[in-house]
Amino acid sequence: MKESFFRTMTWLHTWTGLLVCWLLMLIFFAGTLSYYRYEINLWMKPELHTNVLQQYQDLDLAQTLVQGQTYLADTAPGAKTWMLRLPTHRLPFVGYAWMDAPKEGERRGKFHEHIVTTEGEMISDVRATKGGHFFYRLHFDLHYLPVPLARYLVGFATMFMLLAIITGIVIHKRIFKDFFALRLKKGPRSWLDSHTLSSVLALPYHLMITYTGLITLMFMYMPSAMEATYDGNRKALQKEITPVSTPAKPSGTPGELVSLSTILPSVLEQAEGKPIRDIRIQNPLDANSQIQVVLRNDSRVADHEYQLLYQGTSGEFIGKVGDSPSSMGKAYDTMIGLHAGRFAEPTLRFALFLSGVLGCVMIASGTLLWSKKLRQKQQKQIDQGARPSLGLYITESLNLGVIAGLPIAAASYLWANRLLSADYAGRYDAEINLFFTGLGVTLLLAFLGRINWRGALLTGGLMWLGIPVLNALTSSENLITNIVKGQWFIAWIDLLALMVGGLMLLAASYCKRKIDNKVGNKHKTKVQDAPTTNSVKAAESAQAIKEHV
Amino acid sequence: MHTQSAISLTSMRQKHGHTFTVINRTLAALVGGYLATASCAALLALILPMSTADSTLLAMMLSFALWASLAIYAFAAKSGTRVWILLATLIAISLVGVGAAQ
Amino acid sequence: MVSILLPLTALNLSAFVIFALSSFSTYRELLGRAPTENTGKLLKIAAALLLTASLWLCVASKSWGLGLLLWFGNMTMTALLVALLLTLRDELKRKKPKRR
Repeated sequence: MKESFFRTMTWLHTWTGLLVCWLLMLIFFAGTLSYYRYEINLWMKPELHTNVLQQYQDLDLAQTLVQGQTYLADTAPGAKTWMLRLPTHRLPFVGYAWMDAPKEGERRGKFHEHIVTTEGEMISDVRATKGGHFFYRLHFDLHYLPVPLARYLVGFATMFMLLAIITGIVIHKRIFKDFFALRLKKGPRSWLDSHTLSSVLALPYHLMITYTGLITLMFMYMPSAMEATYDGNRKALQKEITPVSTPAKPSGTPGELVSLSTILPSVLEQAEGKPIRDIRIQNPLDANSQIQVVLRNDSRVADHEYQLLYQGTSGEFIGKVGDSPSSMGKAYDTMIGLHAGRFAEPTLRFALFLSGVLGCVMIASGTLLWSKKLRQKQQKQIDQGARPSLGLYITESLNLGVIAGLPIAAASYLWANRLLSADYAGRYDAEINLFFTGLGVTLLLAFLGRINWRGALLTGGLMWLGIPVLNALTSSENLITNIVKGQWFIAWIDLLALMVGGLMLLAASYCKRKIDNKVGNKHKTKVQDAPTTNSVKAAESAQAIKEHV
Repeated sequence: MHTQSAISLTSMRQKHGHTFTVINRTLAALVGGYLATASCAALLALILPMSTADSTLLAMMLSFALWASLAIYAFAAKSGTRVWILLATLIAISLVGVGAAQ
Repeated sequence: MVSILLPLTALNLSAFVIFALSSFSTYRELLGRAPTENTGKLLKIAAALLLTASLWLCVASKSWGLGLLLWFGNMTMTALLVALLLTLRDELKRKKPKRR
């Protein structure tokens, strides 16, 4: 297309990246936070901060199961399913949960969960919040949009990302040369350096996460193969690759559930040392009830549930649900497992999180590099009083609004969680709306030219640094007591907030220094130039002058 | 003055040519590339020598790599016609193959 | 987990330090003299050997899947550390003349 293959690839890299970069930024940002979605969940429920965290090996299994069974029989006799959730590395507490029968028009019934404290007391009153699941859903469902549309948009952006990565590898001729060099304060050169560094260092991660991301939704994106072999019947295909237990149908006649402690010896024998993740009982008080014991498979990447099945009234062992019998089914489970990282213990999880951050840096530095180059091209005309082109104005505003706006939005979400009253009825949605308010306001201010990088990063940084303080004021525990008690699962979010806040302040101070360095150089203003009304422009130039003095 | 307008005219013609090329290649990469990939995936699902479930999954999992390759070829190829010929051939072969295999 | 994390990090970190040294300009900057062409090559080979050793360590003590994942993850982190340290050094060096 262009005169040379290399030029064509460069062109393709620029445009595939640029067209979707802001959406990709949102996807990467939400996905990166999702590595800590259960930590965020717990942080956002301060009712569960004291005497709740437990470890599986410290548990008296038989007692917990019997207690749970009695509790659920008293509390939720009419439920469709009971669930006894035992501590895992992602959900380190005991919960007795149940699901109502689905109402008309619902796919699933409502889910309730009461948490058991280490003292054996029940906590039933926990504030309504979507917690970390919000970021998880935002990652592929976006929000406010119909789910299919959102997923197609995300898939589209992901495909562009894949193309951008491949072309990026092609055009980077010296991939193993000089990639340690990060030269700061050299204008576009610095942005190119950080773009290269963040891309090359985490290249296996970027490729893996993009490709497996497409695979997670491949039944939606690439249904043709399934159409040809299964007439589009996904359930028939799924049945062959993941043997799931057929759900027991309620018979209508009441029956008595066997005591869970009587099947425990059999469970422990069949589990072969694997810890129990949870026990689900379908139609608990019906003659045709079924007990599913779900085992943990922490040591494997593949995302696949092992189950042991028992007849509910007799306690008779029915069978096992094990690995996918199909080799490609195993490969598919591994791909999904790689993407979601459910297996990852803390160090690996942190590495995945940092790789996600590098992905955000890659996207941000790429688009910043582009806008810097565009500005350089126009600088002469801008110095002579011309307005920046519309493209430059939009790019720069979106960069500021999205890159600085997303951390501000996430911080607003966490702040909203504690500032909204715990029993305010609309709080579940209000928290989410406040996330988008944070993003929207930053975007609006960026487009109006009322905020600059330094201001936005400073705001975001302070908001994040305030999070441990906010937690200390509104929870029964604080960062220090959490660390002393070894409650790293909760303390981690505070620590993360300190890291994010610190980095944002560092970035803000870097912006400031940049302006200081250029004192006397009146050609280069750091303030966003927005072609708005004259009064705004006048205010802006006044501001610019103030900053230069 | 005269030369200047002549230059701007050629550059405009080039620009229009460029716009056409970009739209043509983009369509080939996205729409044509997708259709070719989807039909190839359907064929692979039917003919790969393994169980139906396995071949279906494998075809789906590989399809994105194929689409990405086709998309990059769509931009890298010498002429747009060549791209469309390749895509059309792929689609035709796959569809005939799917018809025969089903 | 922890048991292989330390040797793994040590191996990868030294590999990337050596790798960074194998570049002409970094070598001259850090050691004060220019490397010969052979030195550069030898350093690259040494770095590659160290990375192979760390890959072997990962795969031998974990499954292929988890081992590869750990290897790549740890490489990303250690290389990032080396890059940031080099950048920090640059920054500090740049600041010095100002303070005098």
